[in-house]
Amino acid sequence: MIVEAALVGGFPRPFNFGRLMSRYRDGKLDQETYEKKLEAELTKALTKIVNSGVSIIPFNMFLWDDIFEPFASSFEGIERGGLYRFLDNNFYYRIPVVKGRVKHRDATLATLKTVKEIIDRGEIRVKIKAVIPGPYTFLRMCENKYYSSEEELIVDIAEALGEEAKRLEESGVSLIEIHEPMLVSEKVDTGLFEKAYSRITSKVSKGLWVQTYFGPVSNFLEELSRLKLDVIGVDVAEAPEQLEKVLSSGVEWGIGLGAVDSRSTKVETVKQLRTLIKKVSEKFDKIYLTPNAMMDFIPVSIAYEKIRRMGLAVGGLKNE
Amino acid sequence: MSEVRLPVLPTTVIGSYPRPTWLRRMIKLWKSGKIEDEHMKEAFDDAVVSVVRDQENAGVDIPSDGEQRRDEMVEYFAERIGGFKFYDPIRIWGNAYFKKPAVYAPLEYKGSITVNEYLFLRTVSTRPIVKMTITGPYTIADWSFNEYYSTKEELAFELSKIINRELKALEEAGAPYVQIDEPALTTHLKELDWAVEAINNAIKGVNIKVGMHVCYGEYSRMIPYLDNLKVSQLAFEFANRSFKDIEVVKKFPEDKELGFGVIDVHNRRVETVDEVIAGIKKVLEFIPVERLYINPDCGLKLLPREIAREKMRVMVEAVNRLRKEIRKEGPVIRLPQPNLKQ
Ligand SMILES: [Zn+2]
Repeated sequence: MIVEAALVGGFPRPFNFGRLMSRYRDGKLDQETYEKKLEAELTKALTKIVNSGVSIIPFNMFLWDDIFEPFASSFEGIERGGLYRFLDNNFYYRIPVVKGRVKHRDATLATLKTVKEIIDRGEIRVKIKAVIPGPYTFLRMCENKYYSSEEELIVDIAEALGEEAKRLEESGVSLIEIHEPMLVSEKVDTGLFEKAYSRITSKVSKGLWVQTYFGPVSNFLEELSRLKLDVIGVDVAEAPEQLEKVLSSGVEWGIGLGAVDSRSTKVETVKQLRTLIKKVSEKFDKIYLTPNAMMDFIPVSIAYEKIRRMGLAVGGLKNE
Repeated sequence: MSEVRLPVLPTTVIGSYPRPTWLRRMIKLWKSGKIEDEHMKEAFDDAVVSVVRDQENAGVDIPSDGEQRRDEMVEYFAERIGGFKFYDPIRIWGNAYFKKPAVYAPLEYKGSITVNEYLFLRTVSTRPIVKMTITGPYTIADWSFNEYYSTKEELAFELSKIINRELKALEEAGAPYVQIDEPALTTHLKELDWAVEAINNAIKGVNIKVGMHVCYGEYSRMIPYLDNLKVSQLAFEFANRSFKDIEVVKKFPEDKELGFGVIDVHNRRVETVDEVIAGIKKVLEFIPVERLYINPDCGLKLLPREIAREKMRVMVEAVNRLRKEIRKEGPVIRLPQPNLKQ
């Protein structure tokens, strides 16, 4: 059995670093200084996270404004538009506006390279995973000003995202986390979903991790179980009731156990987390203990405390 | 008991107004300890004088103090209510951060939060009616971390008791018109049921005019709850959505006025007088003029000051032109008797 602690989506961008980034974007800070500060900040954060016992982290760690940013600014046919509410959070993303035929252009590889170099120089022992928005969520959260059919749009988005995933895999990333919070909504268009995912699974054959959050994905588990996935990330912090269904579903591969609430400052106890791990270990033998979503919604200090508990929970049964 | 009759289509603001540049610089210095508190207080007072004058020069009938003393609408109240604490700020988009408060202990009303704001505004404005704004219990609950109460609903109801005391304190001080700001109200539609009850609880026993402002949501989803909502006015944003969905006001209960948003606060382009007139004429197809106030969509604070000023001038000019066609009396606002013991 494998039990590891992992992050999903990202870690809160510290306030001081946000100020720095904003100065850099406004042209008030030169690139060299910015990159130095970034390296120092990232090294410090990664070291602290890894020392907490978290062994897998997304490489976009506090660099992206939102999950769509690099794709909306790189892919052909898409631009970044106005600010929109991200799901039901008091958190906003720039809406991807589709203005032409969507085609792949490298979006995240340069960042991957930079982060890998920082990790190597800092001698930080951590596995990195890539994060991409899922095509279904992308479709539901973008503004379409070009395509006349949703099917054509989602297929092109999936094609472009699949291409990105393939290149990330070729660059040595072993896990690709695909964000699909829209799968927790009541009615998912299964036809569109399956068409889109066939484009991704035909390009990347292993290491796909579909992440769902802020609600139960239990009504959609059978459809998901038909895909060639490695991990399904489920939210049991906000939707604990779905755990039984997940355990009795046909999903056979690894589970991302989203047991740490990324929207609450109440810190979970090690005991709570252990109990959950024990429960899912009856069915799964690959378990990743994670927050239920990206941790941008809570203060950095709380996020550190939460992942410290995660580390303790997976760190064998040494203390406690 | 005295009352004030307003002109038809009374013009007002939603609340916030751009801080003068010098005030922003003063605040920065004050926060780094380079300016004494009493000088900062004088600066805040003078800023209120300036922005009230801006509004009055533009011709606004019911000015506010521009919320010059408030950095942020939830933080300001959380800092002044017992039971809240703050961690490091969280990011809400790009590199914009929010000092999101956390409730860690039972809430406690530690004395009035906005009465001094009202009393100062009253001495500064030449208008018979001024507007005060208060962040509503639902929005404070929604924008806070809840570490103490068992549910968000319980927290919102506890907050409603605090807001109720604040509203009563404002009434005692003589404030005739308060607007409860609830921008979070349309974010979790499943909670509207009890959210409306929490707002009603906040205004229980309050005998002054109370309105409510909500922006950037699906208003149609709110309609079924409006009958039960005890505020007398709803200030909604419509310019930003290019006056779409305007028919929704046809379904307003008859006891509710509309504060009609005619100025887009997220766009620096200044509207033309004709655009504003067209918007007002359109809404008049759905609601009688007696139940209509005219205001911008939302607080003006993110605009450059000169653009805010110009937008207000355009709004008032549009109304003045319409008043020549609509020769009717405007609504009446009752003035509460200030209780000077306070
Ligand atoms: Zn507003």
